[in-house]
Amino acid sequence: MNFRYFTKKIFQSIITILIVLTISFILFRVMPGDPTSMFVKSGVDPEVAAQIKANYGLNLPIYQQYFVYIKNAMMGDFGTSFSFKKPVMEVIWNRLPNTLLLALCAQALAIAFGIIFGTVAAAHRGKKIDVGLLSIALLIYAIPAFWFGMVLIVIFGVKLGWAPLFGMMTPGLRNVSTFTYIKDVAHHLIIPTITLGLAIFGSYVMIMRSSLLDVFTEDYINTARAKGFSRKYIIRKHALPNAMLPMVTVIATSIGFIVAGAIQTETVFTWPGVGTLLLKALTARDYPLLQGSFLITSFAVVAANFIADIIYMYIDPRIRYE
Amino acid sequence: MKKIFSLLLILTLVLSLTACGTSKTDGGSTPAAETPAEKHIVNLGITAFPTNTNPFIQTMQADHNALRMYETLVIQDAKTLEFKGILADSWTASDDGLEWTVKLKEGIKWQDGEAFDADDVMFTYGIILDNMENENASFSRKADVKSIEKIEKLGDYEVKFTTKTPVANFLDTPLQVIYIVPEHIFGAMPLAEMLEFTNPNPIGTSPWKLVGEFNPQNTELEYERYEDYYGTKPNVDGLLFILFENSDTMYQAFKAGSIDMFSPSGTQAEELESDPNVKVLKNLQPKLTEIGINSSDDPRSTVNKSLKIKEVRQAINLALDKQKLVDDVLKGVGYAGTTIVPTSAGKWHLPGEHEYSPEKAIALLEKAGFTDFETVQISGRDVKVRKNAEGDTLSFRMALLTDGYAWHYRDSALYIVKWLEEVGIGLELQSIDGSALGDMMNLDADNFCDFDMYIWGWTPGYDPGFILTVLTTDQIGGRQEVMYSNPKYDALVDLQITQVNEAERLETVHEAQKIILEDAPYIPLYYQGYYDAYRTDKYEGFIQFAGDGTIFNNETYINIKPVSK
Repeated sequence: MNFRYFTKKIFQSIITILIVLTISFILFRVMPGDPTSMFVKSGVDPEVAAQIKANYGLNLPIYQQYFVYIKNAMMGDFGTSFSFKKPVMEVIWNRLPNTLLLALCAQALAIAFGIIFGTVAAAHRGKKIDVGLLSIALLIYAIPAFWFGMVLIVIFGVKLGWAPLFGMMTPGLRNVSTFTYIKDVAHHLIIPTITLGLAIFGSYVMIMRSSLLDVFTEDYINTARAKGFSRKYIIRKHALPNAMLPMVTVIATSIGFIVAGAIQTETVFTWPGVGTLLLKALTARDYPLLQGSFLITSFAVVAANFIADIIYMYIDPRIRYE
Repeated sequence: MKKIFSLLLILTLVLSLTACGTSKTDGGSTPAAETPAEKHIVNLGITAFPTNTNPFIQTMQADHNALRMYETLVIQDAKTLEFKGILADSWTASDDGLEWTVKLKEGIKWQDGEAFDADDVMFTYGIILDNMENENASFSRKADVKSIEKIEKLGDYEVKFTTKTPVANFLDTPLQVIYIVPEHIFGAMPLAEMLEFTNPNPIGTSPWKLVGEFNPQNTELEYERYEDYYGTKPNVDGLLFILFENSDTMYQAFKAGSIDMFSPSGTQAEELESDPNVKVLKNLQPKLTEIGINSSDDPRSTVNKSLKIKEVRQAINLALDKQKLVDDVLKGVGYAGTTIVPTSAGKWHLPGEHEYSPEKAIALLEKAGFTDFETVQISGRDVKVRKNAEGDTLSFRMALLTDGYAWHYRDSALYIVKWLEEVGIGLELQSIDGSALGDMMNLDADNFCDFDMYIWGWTPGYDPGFILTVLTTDQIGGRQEVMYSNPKYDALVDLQITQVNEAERLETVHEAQKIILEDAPYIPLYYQGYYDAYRTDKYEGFIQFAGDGTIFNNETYINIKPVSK
């Protein structure tokens, strides 16, 4: 365990979060009008307006406002959503599990196939199989998720009837056993997972491939080859572990952004996640909800990067023994 | 290290396989098939989800679907458009038209078993009337009850409304639009709480009872038939409104049979025409799309002063081939616009055809002194526009909404630009979103009336009472978008609403429309229609409101029944 490395990373994460909070604080205050103008109508009694401002702490000097804001944010209090009339945290919390379920399944699918395809492509560099896999990855990477989702809906949902087309569970389904419930949700997960998984899969293939190709040029690979090890053994034992370093960073960032939801995929399938919620907040000009989800996404990305750094500690001996 | 790596790989593989592989067993069953034995639940596709079930604060169109458990005193018959009582048994108006005595049906129970009586009606109307002057009491229906002077209880099942002036459409507004809420629930709350109340477990009097708790974050809203309903009970067991964030997915779900009725787009409707199990209908409920022309005299207004000349506005009207907009943009679903009261409003619509005549438009412009030409730059193009001796040019800005519903405004604008250029009028299209344009119509705004013209629309309902008021002087700062003011028009609009004699009112309503036709602050483009569609293999007995309106109405929901096989 490298204690210095660990504390340094924690410190960096805290600084990043503070910067994000500060930027968000400033953004909210440089917008035209003050935050209360959304619900204080013009012509309202000045005393009432002052009271509302006081309720939101807007009568305090700016530095005090800042500290109150930081304190509230640290405690997870992002105010009340205009459109849902409920605390922002509660509204997001309601949707987050749905998004996580979809996104984690999709990530699992994308990571597994991304690594396998990327490795196979790199191992057969320049051959037909490489060109084929790379073309597929590039093509899928270029296709927008909503279009892909629609195509899958038409093929698997409408024509073949293998899977439900929309939502997270069968409409009107209630009072059923846990088993039926899980089965129903899993059934509904199929097309959205494939859609979202494919949307991220392409980039994983390409990063895995190029990262492995870099590693293949290293001296220790030549050394291993000179020792007479088999190709498979060299890739598995020597190349893959080193090639995984950039992958870990990309995957971590990607997973961090999960909490922002997958707007395109969620919209196409009416998946009740954070992505559709964000879209609704945007059209309804629900600023507290927007700000809240913006901050939560930032925290998640910072946290995911922190975790990636910790994983580095395990998979990169240079850090471990520094 | 390698172990961790292989473990990770295996874990991801297993995860993805369990997540995606568990369920390739049963086929693409439709929702109806999975609901318990032989229940007939109608699945309806919607694209916006209601925000709450509190009629006092309901503001969005979509919220109506969350209020189906409530009833009003009267309702318009879907076929005849005559009013009939729901909670009201009968009503009489005094000879001077100032007093409306409403007898309520006896023996009605709220869905929680409490008795319904005059106190519930007194409470619902009373709480809004008591707070008319209270700015912090944001009842969304204040404007609808403003004609009422007072309400009195004459007995347990009888109330009397006294109005400030005679009100010709009193049955329409307020009696048909105010949902009666239970006093024993709403009356127990302080005012502030009542106006924040999201009403998760609503108790109404209607044949529909909400299933489960209402949550605006859900994606479905289910009603079941209320078995103890006092009136005609629905044939089906329930209604299930299903939210679709994407209309293409909704269309696919309809084709696959997962939903039974929805409103398709034009292209979707064309595709569906060939499906033998589907019926596509044109829904021509009254909707108005108009060009509005800034008529404000406010010093802040930046309107091109040539638009202040009546002949210029009339020439714009003559230069437009509105039928072509209906044919090309609306694909034939709608009527060419003439006056502000849409064709579907029946007798209230002033009869007459739109005259398309570029020649007459040019003659009018020349008569108004616009005989010279000048070449101006509009969006990088040279456009030849007319000007008069004072050097005023006919080059105008047109605000074009970017909102989703405004697609046909954008399509129409391209035709309009071309037609107006043909008579020597230049148009510069300026993209803006609806709320930003709305801000310019707010009296307090710094950029008040900073526009020449725009395309926008109204969904006015079948009674002309509402649409006529969007151009009265007292609505400047309210519903007015063009700040038009004509005392003669105001007087006619004020008069018609007091004319309880329908023939007299009809004449006044037509007179008022003639003034707008002449003054042309509004240039009605068309009354656009929409499509509704339902699956003929599942249910029958759909009723189009007013014969050519929407099938999404109360009488459809009560009347439809499973097709006999």
